Amino acid sequence: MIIRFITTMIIFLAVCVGANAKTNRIQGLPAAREKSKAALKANAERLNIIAENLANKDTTGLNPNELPYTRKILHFKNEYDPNIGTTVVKVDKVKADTKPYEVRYEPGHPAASAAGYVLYPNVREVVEVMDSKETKRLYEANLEAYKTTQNLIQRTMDIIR
Amino acid sequence: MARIDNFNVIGIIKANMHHGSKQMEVINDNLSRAHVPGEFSNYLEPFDASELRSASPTVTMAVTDGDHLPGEDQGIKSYFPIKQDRDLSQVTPNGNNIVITDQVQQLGQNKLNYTASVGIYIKLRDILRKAIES
Repeated sequence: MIIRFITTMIIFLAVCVGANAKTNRIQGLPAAREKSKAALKANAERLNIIAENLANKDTTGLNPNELPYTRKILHFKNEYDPNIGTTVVKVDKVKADTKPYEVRYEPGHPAASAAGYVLYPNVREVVEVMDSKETKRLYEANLEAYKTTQNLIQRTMDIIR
Repeated sequence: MARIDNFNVIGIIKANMHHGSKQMEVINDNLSRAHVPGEFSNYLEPFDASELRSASPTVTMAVTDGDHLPGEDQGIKSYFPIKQDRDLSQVTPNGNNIVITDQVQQLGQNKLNYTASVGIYIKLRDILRKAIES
């Protein structure tokens, strides 16, 4: 009798946990807040990569056999996150830019080839500055969305006061 | 002419708030994907209370999961379907048609609508409280 009761309780709890795991999705204002939060993180990471590219725009190799700094590009993906409970934007991967390196004639440079040419990073300052302006605009838009969502959640809480 | 005894005010306000929260979710989702290549913006149809105006409160038949353990209000969610905007007039070179300006404008408008709905709901609650107290 007791064993039967315990078995029934274990099965009942397993079903409840399974049901909760399956219906872990969030919707409405909490989901909106999580989406904005994830977007802020993704844009912050993108700014980080842009800053790294700009900081290393003149980083060459130390000897003729060494390649200079290679520009990085961030790729994003939009997928469902079971820990959060909704689809969010995340950083997918960081890939190297395949554009050719810049070549300058500097025969006295330690990384100069036999012909006197040095490879410089494939980073263009104008492109990085434009990317940073676009990312800044996106970050500010997502921040505004996050603040608005928070404000609406607080406003909804006013109902129960 | 709408009859006053069929006027489901609380139901309309509740549905409007559901629509507002769903709209906020859609707008935030669009803004988060604004720079992802190949992504299209989503939108909701504007809230229309005409169908709810003459409806009386009833039990909504909900579509449940296969194990028949209902976990969420399917009725309200299914009333506001999310549609994809396939407009190609403002597409970036990477195939993204989400315009940040439009989304931020909708954000402000939605905030106003939602705040107004909450304000009306609070006023209605206070009126009912006064009526019960008296």
